Amino acid sequence: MLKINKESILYTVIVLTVISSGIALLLAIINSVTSPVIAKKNLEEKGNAIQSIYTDYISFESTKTEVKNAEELYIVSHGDTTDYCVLVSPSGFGGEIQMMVGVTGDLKISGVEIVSMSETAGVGTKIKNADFLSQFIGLQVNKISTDVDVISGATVSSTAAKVGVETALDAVSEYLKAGDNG
Amino acid sequence: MKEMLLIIVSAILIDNFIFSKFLGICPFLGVSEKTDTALSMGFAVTFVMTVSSAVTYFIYYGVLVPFNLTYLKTIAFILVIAALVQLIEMFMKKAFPPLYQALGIYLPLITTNCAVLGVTLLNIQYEYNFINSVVYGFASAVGFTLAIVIFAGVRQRLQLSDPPKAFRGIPLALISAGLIAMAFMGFQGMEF
Amino acid sequence: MTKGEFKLKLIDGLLLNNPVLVQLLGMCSTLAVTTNLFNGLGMGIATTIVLTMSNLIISLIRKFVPKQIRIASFIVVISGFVTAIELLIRAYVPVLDKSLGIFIPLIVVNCIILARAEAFASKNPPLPSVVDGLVMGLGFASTLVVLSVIREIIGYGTIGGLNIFGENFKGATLIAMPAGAFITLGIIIATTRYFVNKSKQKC
Repeated sequence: MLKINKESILYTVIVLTVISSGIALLLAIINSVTSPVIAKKNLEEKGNAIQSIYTDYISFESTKTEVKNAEELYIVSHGDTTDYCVLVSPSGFGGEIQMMVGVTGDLKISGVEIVSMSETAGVGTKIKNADFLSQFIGLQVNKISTDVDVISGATVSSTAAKVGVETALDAVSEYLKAGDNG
Repeated sequence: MKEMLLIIVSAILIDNFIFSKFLGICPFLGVSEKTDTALSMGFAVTFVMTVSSAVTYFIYYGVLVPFNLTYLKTIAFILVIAALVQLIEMFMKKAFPPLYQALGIYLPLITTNCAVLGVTLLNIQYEYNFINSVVYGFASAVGFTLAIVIFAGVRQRLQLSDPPKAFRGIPLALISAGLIAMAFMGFQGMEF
Repeated sequence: MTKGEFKLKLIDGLLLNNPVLVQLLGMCSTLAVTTNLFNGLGMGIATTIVLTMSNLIISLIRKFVPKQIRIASFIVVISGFVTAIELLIRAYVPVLDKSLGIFIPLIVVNCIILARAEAFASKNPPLPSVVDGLVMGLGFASTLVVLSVIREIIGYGTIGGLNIFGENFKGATLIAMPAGAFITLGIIIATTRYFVNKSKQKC
């Protein structure tokens, strides 16, 4: 019978290769099952956030944007018009705040939704309240710093939300400008 | 430049790895009984974190992304870190024997220090470029060192105190760490 | 394994040799994710699954793996299962993926798993290794649940998101924040020690 030398380099290499390829195979299978599910969930999540801003939303198309802290820009067709949404992530008190900001074609805010945040519970999380977020609706870029009242005790979080909305306006106006030139 | 400064300050003080992100707690509790050993551990970790931030950047954007294998990043990174720690250990043994003797026993422990794997994963999550990844790796390791040295100072004093029997050692150390973490909370929400 | 042996093992994993409270392993994830019941339970279950599976595989391959590459192959197996769990959580429980974030891949460096692989699974046959993984995982998970329930009640006045003290309870948010994690865990460890010592004195 063939005697295996367990100390030989060849043997260690073979064992390690077999283990690694076994694990890699397992992961490849799991990945092929889960990746479409993950992609679908992500798309649904974005769709839900957009729908809470444009209730009559039909479909959206995402594009990249170069503006800093803006992750993605969505061209949303709703009712019989086309408007925009931007996913922005300004830094708040406890890290990034992810928010979806609706912007109309004439650069007014049509709605703001907080997607995720890690602000202090009970303090910074107050920016999720409708009272605060509804202040933004209808405003143009030069009005945001003056017309939106910050929540007392949660200045940093509220300011972050304002910055996020301004970023979204920037992203949309950049996008429209690029469209005009091209 | 301003962005880099922001990364450094927030990695050291605001998002301190120990007190706000909870990365690297095991060595934090394990080797913080004396300030000088804590400092040695800090240096070893700083070295490994900076180098592995750089290496994993190339692995991720050079190999995993082009071949669409990003889901293998945890495996790839931990193997890179383990190999790197071995290499550094062998290199130090040959090139800087005194440094090796000072850090030697801590080096193998670094492989399972979650601060190292943590920083490489965070670099990817924050989408840092190469320079910022290395800066972030270095700065958060400095934050780690700062935390572990401060804490060792506190623990040296704790040994002189006479707490109830059940609190002796780790429980009291954890509670003191909580108090230091509270002090670090003062840096949160700082504006620039 | 008889019933009595299993019972002894269970007490060992849950209390006398509890991985978190007595062996002080896996502190990072313990402190980081126990802000509420959902996160604590999710992390506990995920770690238990990884621990059981990796114990099983490592025990199966223990005779083929030469000494020099033992740790390396353990790490490959463990990180493989962690990645599998990570992908499954992201696909089917995305909420948990968001709130645990980077701490799911960091299960790889949770010292409990490597410690059990090295100390138990690499020396014992598959069935006891699986039992060991399950019991130690349960010890870890139960500690996480206790810690997160305490922190959630004091910090937010809720259990699993359900308000238990009425709307006017403001909660001591500090306990839900990092500083509170250290302090609560310190007090729990001291309490366990107190009772374990007391019961040892009786015997």
